Order: sequence, then C-alpha cells, then structure tokens
Amino acid sequence: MEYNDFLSDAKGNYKKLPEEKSELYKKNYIHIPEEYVEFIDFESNANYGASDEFAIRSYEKGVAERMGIRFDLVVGSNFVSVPKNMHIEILEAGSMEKEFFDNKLFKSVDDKFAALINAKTEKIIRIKLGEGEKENFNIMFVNTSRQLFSQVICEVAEGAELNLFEWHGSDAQRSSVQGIINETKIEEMAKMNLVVLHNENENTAVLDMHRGTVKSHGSLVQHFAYIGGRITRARGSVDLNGSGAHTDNAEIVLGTLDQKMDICTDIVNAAKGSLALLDSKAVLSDTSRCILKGFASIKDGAIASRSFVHERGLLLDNTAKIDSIPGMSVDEYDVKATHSSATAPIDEESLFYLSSRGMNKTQANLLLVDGFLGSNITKIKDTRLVYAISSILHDKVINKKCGIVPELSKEIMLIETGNEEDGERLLEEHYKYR
Amino acid sequence: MKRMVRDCLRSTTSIDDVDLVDSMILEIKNLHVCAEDKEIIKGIDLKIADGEFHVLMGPNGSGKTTLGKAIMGYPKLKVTQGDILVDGKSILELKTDERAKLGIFLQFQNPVEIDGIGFVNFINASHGAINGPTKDVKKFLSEIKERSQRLHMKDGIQKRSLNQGFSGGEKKKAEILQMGMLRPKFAILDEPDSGLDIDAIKVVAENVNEIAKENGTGLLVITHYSRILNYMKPQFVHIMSSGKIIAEGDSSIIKTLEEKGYEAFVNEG
Repeated sequence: MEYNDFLSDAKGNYKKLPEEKSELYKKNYIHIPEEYVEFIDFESNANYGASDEFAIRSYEKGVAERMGIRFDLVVGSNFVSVPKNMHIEILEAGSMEKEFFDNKLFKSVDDKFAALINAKTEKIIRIKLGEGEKENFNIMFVNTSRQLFSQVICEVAEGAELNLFEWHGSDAQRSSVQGIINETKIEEMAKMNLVVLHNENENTAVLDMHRGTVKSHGSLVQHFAYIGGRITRARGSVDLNGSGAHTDNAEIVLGTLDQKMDICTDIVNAAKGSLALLDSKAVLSDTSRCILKGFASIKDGAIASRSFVHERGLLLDNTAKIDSIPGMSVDEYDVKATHSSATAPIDEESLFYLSSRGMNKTQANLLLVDGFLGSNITKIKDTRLVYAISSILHDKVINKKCGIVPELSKEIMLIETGNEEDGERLLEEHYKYR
Repeated sequence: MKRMVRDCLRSTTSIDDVDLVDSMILEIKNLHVCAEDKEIIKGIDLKIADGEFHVLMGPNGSGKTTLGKAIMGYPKLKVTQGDILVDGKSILELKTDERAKLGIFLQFQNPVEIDGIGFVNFINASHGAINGPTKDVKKFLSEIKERSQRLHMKDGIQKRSLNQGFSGGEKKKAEILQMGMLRPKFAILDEPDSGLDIDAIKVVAENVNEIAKENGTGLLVITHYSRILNYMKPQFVHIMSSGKIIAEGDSSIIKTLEEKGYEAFVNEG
C-alpha cells in the first residue's frame, strides 16, 4: 500500500467504522464526544495550530525539575525535538515505503480511532535496536494545542533489550484529543520493557493503541498507567508468535471526578510454551467510570502455553462504577488458562481500622490506593519511574485533578509493599483450584 | 459486692503520686450506646488517668468491646446519653482519626486484613498521621525491628500485607507493636490474650507493661480470663455485665472471680 492509499484508507475507515467494532464489547464501551474530535481537519495533514515550542519546553523542564526525568525525545504539537540517540529516527509518514504500511500492526480497518491516528500522524518515531544492543529511552509527548497524534514503532532485534518510557502529558486549554499508536516487534530472545504513563489534563480525550508481536523466547513486559485525561480509550494486544515467548502486562487506572476510562487488552498465545499475563487494577472515586476488558486467547497448536487475566477494582465512593469483563477463548487442550475478576467498595471496617490509627479519609485512601495499585507499580524496574508515578497518584488522590506534575512525594516509603504479586505465581495459585 | 472504690484506691496507690492536674484523664460519664437501635451500653461511668491500669472483665456479650469501640468513635454505634471526655472536653463530636490524634489507641480483637498494604508502610502512615512525618527512616525501621524482636515476632512478618495471613497470635503482637510505635496516652486493649499460647501471653503482657511505663499510657485491658493478669498488675478492676459495670475494686477482685465466676457478680450486682 502506498502512502496516499494508506491515507485515504485511514480517513475512510475513521468515517465509516463504529466506535466499538467488537461484537463482544458493543454494549460496553465509552463514547468519545464530538467536542473532542469535531475540529479535526481531514483536508489538511497538518496538526492543529502552530508549534508552541516554548510551552512544550516549559512543560518538559517542569517534569525534569520535579520528577528528575530527562527525555531523549520530546514530541509536541507541530514540534519534535532532535533525538539524543542515533537509534531514534524521526520519519515523515509521507516518505515511508510501501512495505512499512503493509507491515503495520495497527491497521486502519481494525479500529476507528487507530484509523484516525493513522490518518493524522505526520511524523513516525522509529526505534530500532540491532542484535544484542541494549538501550534505555525516555520520550515525552505533550499537547499544548488541540490535537497530538503520534506513532512509535519499535523493532528489537535478536538478543537486544529496549527499555522505553513514554510520558504523555497535556496543557490543552480546550477540549482536545491526544492519540498514540505503539507498535512493537520483538525478535527471538529479545526483550522490551515498556512503561507508558498517561497524565493528560482534564480537557483531553486520550486514545491509546498498542500492539506487539513477540517471537521465540522473546519477552515484552508492559506497564500502562492511566491516570490523566477526561476520557481514555485504550486498545492493546500482544501476540506471542514464537515458542517460549512471554508477555507480562500490568495496567493501573486511577479515576477521579467524572473521568471515564475504557481499557481493552488482548493477549494471544499463538505458539507452544508461551506465557501471557494481564493484570489490570482500577481505583475509582467520585463519579468516575472504568470499563476493564481483558481477553486471553490460546490458538490451536499453542500447546503447553499458559495464560492468565487478572482484573481487580476498588471503589472509593459508591457513585463510581467499574465494569470488569475478563474473557477467554481456548482452542488447545494442553494448556493452563484462567481468569479472575473482583471489584469491591472500601470495606467500612477497614476504614475504621485505618482511622483508628489516626488517618483521615484522604490519608486512608492514599494508603489503600498505594496498597491496591502498588504491586503493579513496583514491578517497574526503574525506581525513578516508580516514585514519579506514585507521586502523581498521591497528588491525584489528594487533589482529584488530573494532568498535574507534582513534586516527588515525600510520603512514599517503598521499604516494602506487602505481597509481591508475581503474575506467574498468581496464575499457578489460581489454577490449582480448577 | 458492688464497690465504687476507684477514688479511694487512687489515694492508696503509687499512681496517686502523679499530679492529676497535669496528667490527661479519659472520663466516661453515664454512657449509653446503641447499635441499630438496640441499647448495648446502659450507663457506664469510668475514669482513667494516664499511667493508670484498669481491667474490664465480663461474660460474653456484656458490651466490653462495644465500649472500646464507642470510645474510639465507631460510626455504627450511637451514643444516646452521657459523654466521653478527655481532660474535661467532650470528644463525642470528634471523628475516629481525631480521637487517635488525641492519643487514644484501640487494639482490635479481630484486626482487619488489608491486602497490598505493607505492614511497615501502614505503621509509617499511622505514625505520620499522629506524630508527623518520620524524620529518621533508619531509626524508625530499627525501632520496628527491635520492638518486633521484643515481641518474639517471626522475621519477615513486617514484609507481609497488613494482618494478612497472620495467625491469631501474630495479629495480637502486631497490634501491640503498633501501640509501641504510636505511643498513645490511653490504650484500650480488647482481648490482647485471646489466641495466644501461654508463652506468648507472657511476652505480650511484658511488652504492654513496658510500653505503658515508657509513655505513661493509661490502660484499659478488656479480657475474659485472668491468666494475662499474672504478668500485669492492674490497679482497678471493673466487672461488666449486660451493658453495666456491676462491680469494681482492686486486683483482689480477680481472685473472687477465679473462685466464683461471673455468676457471683451478676447475681449480686
């Protein structure tokens, strides 16, 4: 497919596809209101408005000063900084060859909003590691206008290891949309750790699309923190295509006020001896709402593979709502596959216990949020990111607002976090009751 | 048998030497408490000064735990009459966390288990809420370690989630460890001996004595059995039945209790 055909296909699919294409979830999805997308101009490829490098750099400086995180690349509205590493390439979408569009993992026909991002992304970020190479990168995406559409294509060659952190923030003053497609290809024996933090402000609709393929004995470990944005729609999948391939996906959601989150992730065992884990945890307060959809499928021939979908929800207020919908499709006999889901409000006895130890409701909520989400945060290897994400969570529990870049919290005491919730251990423990 | 001897006892014990004007006093006046419209506490008077050691005994269902929870401000209980005062000021309008910040500590009979909240993080958060943020983390951790060793707690228990998977005895020890770290002015210990083996009862009792002595804590120990009192020296013993205190006295009352059981007090009360 040539670029012009690709573009026309993307625009066409955006216009004709329903918001939720899957028959399984057509009753459970969150609508993206018109106000977040009505201003998008499909006649021009340009993103909305002029580049605001000063505002973007100010935001970056704020994050660096408060969180101590330095970025190898900053992507903003009509702005991309010069990459600080030769492994990061910035490519014009219009100049990409036919093969690139043919091999894209997230095709426009797959999803209405993937089509939107495909249609509106001008610059593609490609990270390519050669055999045995090892790199760590931090990338910031910040929207200072009304729209920001980006794509990151990661290709990790045999035996290589890539650690990638993406910070998604926004300073949008009006209803805006921020979309990202992450496409990840992990070759044999290669590893990738992806940490994605969504900390957009309350004016933003967040569209997060991520797809990965993992070949033999490769590993893709992903952490997604959905904290910001008024509305979040995430669609992800990982295909384990090689024997002994592994993926471990940890998702956390913290919703306050009237935030809405729709998180759908598929894990697919398509090869023998593969291991796929999905652990999603959501804490909601006020009138926020979250739909957690995790689906595991084990394809015919994926013998001796294992798969586990684990969804947990905690409601801090009885006006918040979580729909937790784990699913599973198993086409092979010799496998271990299971799923679990549990959601509950805060137990009154627990609150009384915590308050008897001097904690007011906010302090008790902080501890409960730390405890509930902590096991998925502390799985992140980079301690700076653990502190940064925990600090944002703390600030949001206290102030409710999203998109804030707070000072690092002094209250965080990561001496220990209670039970280590290792996904593989959970799977084995859960499976023994079957 | 019913003897209102507290005031005269105070004049004969060493605690009496404490200047009560400068010390804190927890006072319960004619307290009536309902749970779901059923009256559980039916008019109780009790006065505990810091440094004093009171024991509350009574048969099952007499309202001992309810009294402890009412003092702590359990939201499902309603005080229908009377008052709870600290230093002459009513605390009825205070929330539970505000009462804890005043220095009141309740050791729960069945502490809740909360998955994911690390035990040390919990103590740190609690300590921070009551005494301000931990300034010296190293010292704080070493104190936890030292206190847990004194309580003969297993290594590694601090690394588990709050009370999760703890045995009955471990839970009780974990509560006493918290008491030690939080240094309360008044501690209500609700059956600190239940679920403990003979050796552990002694360890817990010794630790409670030590913590109370270190901080001048006023104690109200709720118990069914006198075994723990072999290692503790209460100054005041109160016997409760059907929501009322039916007998009071010094520790000699425990001997009578051992010989005749609660029945004797209930009948005479």
